[in-house]
Formats: sequence, C-alpha cells, structure tokens
Amino acid sequence: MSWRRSRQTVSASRLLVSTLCLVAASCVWASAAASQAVGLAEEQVLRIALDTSDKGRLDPHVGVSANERAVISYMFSALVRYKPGDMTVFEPDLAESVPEPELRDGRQVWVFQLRQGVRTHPFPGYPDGYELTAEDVVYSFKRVADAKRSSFAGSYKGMNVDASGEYTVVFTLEEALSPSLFLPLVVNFGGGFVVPRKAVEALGDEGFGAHPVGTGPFIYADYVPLTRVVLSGFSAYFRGKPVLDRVEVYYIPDVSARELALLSGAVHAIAGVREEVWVESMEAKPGIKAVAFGPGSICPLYINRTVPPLDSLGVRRAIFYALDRDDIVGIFGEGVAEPTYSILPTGYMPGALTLQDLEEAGYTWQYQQDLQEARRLLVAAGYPSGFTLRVFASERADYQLLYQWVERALAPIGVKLDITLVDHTTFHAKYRANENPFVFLVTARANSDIYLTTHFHSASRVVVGASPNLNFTQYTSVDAYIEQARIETDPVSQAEFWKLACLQIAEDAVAYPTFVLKPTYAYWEYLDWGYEVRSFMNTAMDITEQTRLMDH
Amino acid sequence: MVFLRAYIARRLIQALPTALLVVTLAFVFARIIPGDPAVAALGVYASAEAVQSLRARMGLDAPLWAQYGRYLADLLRCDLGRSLVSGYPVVNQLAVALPHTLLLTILGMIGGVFLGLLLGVTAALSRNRLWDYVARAISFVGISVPAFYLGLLLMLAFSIALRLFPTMGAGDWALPATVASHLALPALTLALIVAGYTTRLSRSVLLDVLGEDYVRTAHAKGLSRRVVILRHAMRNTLIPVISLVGMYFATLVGSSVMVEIVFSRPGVGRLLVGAIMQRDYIMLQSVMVVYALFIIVVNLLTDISYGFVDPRIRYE
Repeated sequence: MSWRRSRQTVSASRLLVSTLCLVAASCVWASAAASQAVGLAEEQVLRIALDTSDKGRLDPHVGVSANERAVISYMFSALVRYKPGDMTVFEPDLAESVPEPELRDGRQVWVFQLRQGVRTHPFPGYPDGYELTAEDVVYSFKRVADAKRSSFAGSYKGMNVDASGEYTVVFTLEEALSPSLFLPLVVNFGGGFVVPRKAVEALGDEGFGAHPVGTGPFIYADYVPLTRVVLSGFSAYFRGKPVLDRVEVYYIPDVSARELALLSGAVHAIAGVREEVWVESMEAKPGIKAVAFGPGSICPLYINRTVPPLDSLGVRRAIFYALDRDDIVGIFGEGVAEPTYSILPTGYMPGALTLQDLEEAGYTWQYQQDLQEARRLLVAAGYPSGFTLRVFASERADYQLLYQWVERALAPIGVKLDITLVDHTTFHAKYRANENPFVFLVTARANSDIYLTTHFHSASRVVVGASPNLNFTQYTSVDAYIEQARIETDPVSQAEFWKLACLQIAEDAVAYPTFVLKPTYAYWEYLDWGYEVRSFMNTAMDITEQTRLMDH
Repeated sequence: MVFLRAYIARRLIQALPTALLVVTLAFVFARIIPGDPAVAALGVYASAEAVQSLRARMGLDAPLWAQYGRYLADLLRCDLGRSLVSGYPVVNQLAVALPHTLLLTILGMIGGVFLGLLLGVTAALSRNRLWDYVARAISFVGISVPAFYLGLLLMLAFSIALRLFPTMGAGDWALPATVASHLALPALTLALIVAGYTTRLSRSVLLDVLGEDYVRTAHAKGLSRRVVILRHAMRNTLIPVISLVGMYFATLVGSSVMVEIVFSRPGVGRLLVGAIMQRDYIMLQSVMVVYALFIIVVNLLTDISYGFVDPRIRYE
C-alpha cells in the first residue's frame, strides 16, 4: 500500500514536474515567439541630440570636437576601426585585415590590403560614387599630413604613404612605431578617416567640408543651420545596406531641452550629463535606458611644481595625503566615476599602474588619506600653519565640484585655496599662461604616448617648453621613458617604459589621479544600437549599419 | 508726411555715430574676452605650432588697428566674414537665424502687449475683485519667473503632458503650420513676460485715466461705458505702454536668447551663445552689431508710433 502510494506520489510528482516543464517551456516559447514578434519599427529614422549648438566642421581632417567627430564617424571609414561598442579591439575596416609591421631596408613598413568593391557616396559628376582604391588612401594621408588642410598634421610627420597596386597601401615610417602607436593613426578617429580624392578635388576643400563624401554607412543629405544634420542610409555600403533609412542629428546645447526632447519622443537618444544622479533620474523614466560607458576621461589634479611652496616634494606629498579619492568618487557617483590610481587609466592604456604597483613601491601618498602624515610633512617643509594658494577654477559644474573637493580636503591641514571662478575658456587660457598652480583637466587621449607627451614631456611645458602643450606641472623627469617607449616596437617593453614614467610621476607627486569619468547617454529602450555598449574612443555612441529601431 | 520723412532722415543720421560706436565696441569686446579663438577652434589639445599657424590664417597676428580697418572695410561691403567654427559666411548664417528671432520676438511682443492690455484693462475695471487678482497673479508670474524656467514649465505642460506642441526646432518655412506650432510655446513664454509688465502698467494708468475730468465728462454726456473706455481712456493709456514696449524690447531680445536655447530654436540667440562658448569672435561681433542695430530701429519705430497714438505729438 505504502509502495503503491509512494508510486502514485512519484507519478503525481512526475506529472507535476512534467506539467511545470511544459508550462515553463510554453512560457519560454511564448516569450521567444513574442520577442520574435517584436519586429522592426515601420519608420527607420533615428533621431539623436548632441550637446552642442551646431554641426561645426564635418571635414574629417578638420573637425576636432567630440560632436564633430561623432557625425564624421557615421559617414566615413578608415583602414582600421575600433570595434563598435568596444574600443579595446581593433578590427579591419577598409583594409581586409589588420597587418603586422614589416622591416624593409631598415625601415618599418605597414602594408594594408584594401577590400575590393568599396564604393564612395555619390557626389556631383559621380551619381553612383566610384570604387575606392589605394590612390584615394594615399591622397587622404597626404592631405591629413598637410598643416594647411588638416588639424591633425602634427601626428603624421615622418610617414611616407605609397600605393603598390590598385588595392595595396604601404606606409613607410622614418621611426618605427609599435602597433599601439601606429594603429590609432589609421583608425576611425582623429585623422585616420579616408576621404575620396575625386570628391575632394571636385568639391574643393571648402565644398567638401560643407558636403562631406565618404564611404561610411550614412550619406550626408541635408543640413538645417543651428538645428540638424540629416544623413541617409548608404545602400552600397560595403558591409551591407544600413537598417536605418535616415539618421537625424539634432544640436541641442541645453540638457533640460534634450531631456524634454527625449521624453516627448522627438528624439530617440540624447547625450547626457556625467553624473550618476542624472543616469538614475533618466533610468527611472518608463521606457528609457541610461548608460555610462567607457573608457571615459581622466581628470587628475596637476600641481605646478615651480610655484612655491609647491616646489617642495614634501608639500606636494602632504597635499596628496590630505586628499580622499573615495569622497570625490562618491560625489560624482560610482556609476560614472571609476576610481583610478594611475595617471594612465587602467583598462585601455598600456603602462597603467595598479593599486598593487603603488603598494609595492610604497607610494602611500598616492592612494591613502593620512591627515596626520600630511601635517607632519608640512611641518617638516616649514609650513606648520599651512599656506594660501590663489587658484583659478572653471565655472563648469564638474570642475567646480573638483575644486570644491580639493578646497574641503586641504582645509584640515591649513592649506587654504583662494579660488577665482572663471569661464571655461578663461580657465584654459590661465593654465596655458602658467598662472594656475592647481589644474584639473578632464582628458581623453588615444594612447599612452600622446597623453604622457602632451602632459609630462619637458618640451610640452606651457610657456617655456620647446613645443608648449599641456605640461602645466612644468615636469621634466620622464622625457627619457617617454622617448624610449616611443621607439620601442615590442608592446610589452613599451608598456614597461610607460609604467616607469607613471611610477616616477607618482614618486614626484606632481599629479594625483582621481577617477575616470564616463560619458552618458539616455535612449528609448526600443533603440537597438546593434552592438554591446561597453566603450567608445569618442564620447558619443557609434551608429552602424546594424543600428535599428524596434517596434514599440 | 513731409515732416515725418524729415524726422526719420534726421533720426537715421543721428543713429550713425551710435552705430559706429556699437560696431567699434563689438570689435573691441570680441577681442578682449579671454581665450584664444585659435585654441577654441582647434581644441585645447592642439600644439602651440598648430595654434600659431591658425592664428596667422585668421589674421589674428596682424596689429589690432589693421584688423579694425579691415573689419570696417568689410562691413561697408556687407561682408561679415566667415565663422571661425563652421567656416560658413556669417551673413548666410544670420540670414537663416534672423527671421526666426524676429518672428519670435515680434510675436512675443505683440502677443504680450495684447494680453497685457487685456489683463490690465480687466484688472482696472474690476479693481479689488476676482479678475483683478487673477490678472495681477498672471502678471506676477510673467515678471518674476525667469524666461528659461517659464519655457521649461510650458514645455512640460503642453509638450510632454498634453503633447500639443513640439519641443524643439522651428518648423519648415514651406509648411507654415509647422512654423506656427513650433512658435507657439516660445512666443507664449515671451508674451507672458511682456504681459507681466504691460498688465501692471496699463492697470495703473487706466485707473488714473478713469479718474480724469474728461472721462467723467464723457460719462456725463451719456456715452456708453464701452465707448468711454475704448475711445477716450484707452488711447491715453497706450502712450506709456508704447514707451514701455520700446524700452522693454532690448530686454525681450535678451530673453529671446534663453527661450531659443530652451526650445532649441535656430535663432540669433543660439548663434550668440555658440559664438561665446566657442570663442568665434567673428560671429560674436556680427551678432552684437545685429542686435544693436535691431534696437536702434525699434527705438526709431517707437518714437514714430507716438505720433499715431497721440496727435498732439509732432515731428518737427
């Protein structure tokens, strides 16, 4: 009896389990069927709003701002591209593959085999465009190296570009470069975009800037001044016809106006504010997704080591000991601000220091708040009562938060900041004139060499350097590491030199890394970008041939 | 009519030194604001070499007097130069932006004056009663709430909640209905601001006028209340209102900048703010000149309109 009951129980259990499985399977099937049923939206017109007043310059060799580069990237291709949504990976674009460097007659050579059948957008005289060949690529890199026609000429010195056949391009470098330094020159960022020679010659530089012609997924179609640029899908795009028929890029400088445009449904995606509060507030809206994406910008505190009493190493280390990184990260929010202990941010720049590196080196001032030690160092340096520094702070909200944080952190050790608030352009002018002892600069750079060279090489010292740039710490101690890394072709050894530079900078306490600040976007959840959103070299999202609007 | 023409000619001649002063000040202001236009154009990461090269191409390395001379000569040829940011001729960009700003400002002003007069007269005629309080409350909102905030509130109510009007842009000139729908909320924002001042002024002036002997005489003659108010009292109420309109126009132009930003309208305000942010001094000086000339013209029109409202005013 008990056996029968037991068997009945087992049967009943099996039945129950089977039924549950069936129900679960039905649910899964129904869910899958439902998701399949969610097809493409009837109207494939993507509207996005960028945070600027107008389109600026859309010639890929001239436009430098993030918003200009965003629109340029929708229209142009390069030999190599950052994988959409993941800028840590290079993948072929106009080239068939990403090559390895070769050595020919003692010179480093990079040979690119071009895809065949890549067509340009139509332009006057060429209603169907024409096939892009090596000749166009050569023309493009000669143009970008011409200072009169390009904003990026400086990066392309010492590079000889030739065509070897119709689909082969050969770059011969005067000085060998590692892949991490060379590939960013031919990638879809900065000056790497390829322009079709016949289009530039037919339209002239000015005409080409006004009506760009590329080989990317979208064609420049229309421009309404101060309002929008309209791009249409390029049916002959070499990766296939884009799903989107049209992309309309709106220029809305005010964030509140952008939010309202998104919520009203007038646009599908907007550039956001780099604050977690903003991301959370947008996420809370039904149907809206908000993301903070990498790699973001670094914003260390740079200290001018020539301004007394900051010329004392003890004073600089005392200042570092007084700072609390967690405090400022908390102000911006961990969702958008990722703490970093290295001048080169970890994650995408080779040579970055980890917390472990600093611990092993014993550079406690770089990662640990210790007010007692800070006070002791100030006394030892001859400033037992602290001192007052005149500082210029940008009126931009994020910069104000940074300067207020430093002011608050230094008060307990007697260091007072006499802060003058200036507009953002004046702020730039002040540090370029070497008039600001404490500088925060929110920066995103393509590679370790560019960042270290522009910020820490002696030639880049503001005012006094041979080629003044952004070295406002007036630092001179890592030139050798930067230069050795530049000519090192082995990526591992190269990263080691950059790491040594970072360690030296940490030891000398001239720049305090705070965090990496990520750009943000908000968009309707029915917008499918066509890739996983992780990181972008630019501060704008990629729009590719796969981007589409789902039914909603 | 002869007197009027002579008056206009005289005022125009008088306006010339003012215009020259404005043009000069615009030139000076655009150059004394901090920041290097070449750095603004190339970005803060540009090398000193690239910045210097662009400065030379912009003509910024020439002495200031030479730049000023070239600027004046270009102005006489109606050549305002090319925007340092977009590379487009400034005249073309102004030609696109100015109609939007003029339409917005004029409609805001006209709407505001009508609304203000309506509220002011209603308030005066129902003094210390419900409609008086309502009109004064609306006036208070118009005066005290900043233009950008008022615009956002209207947008939240009419564009987001009710979905009646678009949130951005200015519509398509080829489709007048779209222009009207895009103009409604920005114009209402400006109109409420103007109405705030006009209501208060017209209410107090009408209350004074209603106590005048000639109004009492008109009533004694047996004229209807409507006729007394419209034909006798209102005409005298309008003179200070017109003065206010003339004076307030400059303020309204300032408010229109904020309204254009909030509603993302492609007007001169957007050009101005963009030029300041990007240190596009060529655009900046041109926009300043246009605004100043705009106000000179409005002042002239205000002076001329006095004579139409009050026949006692002559143009000799």
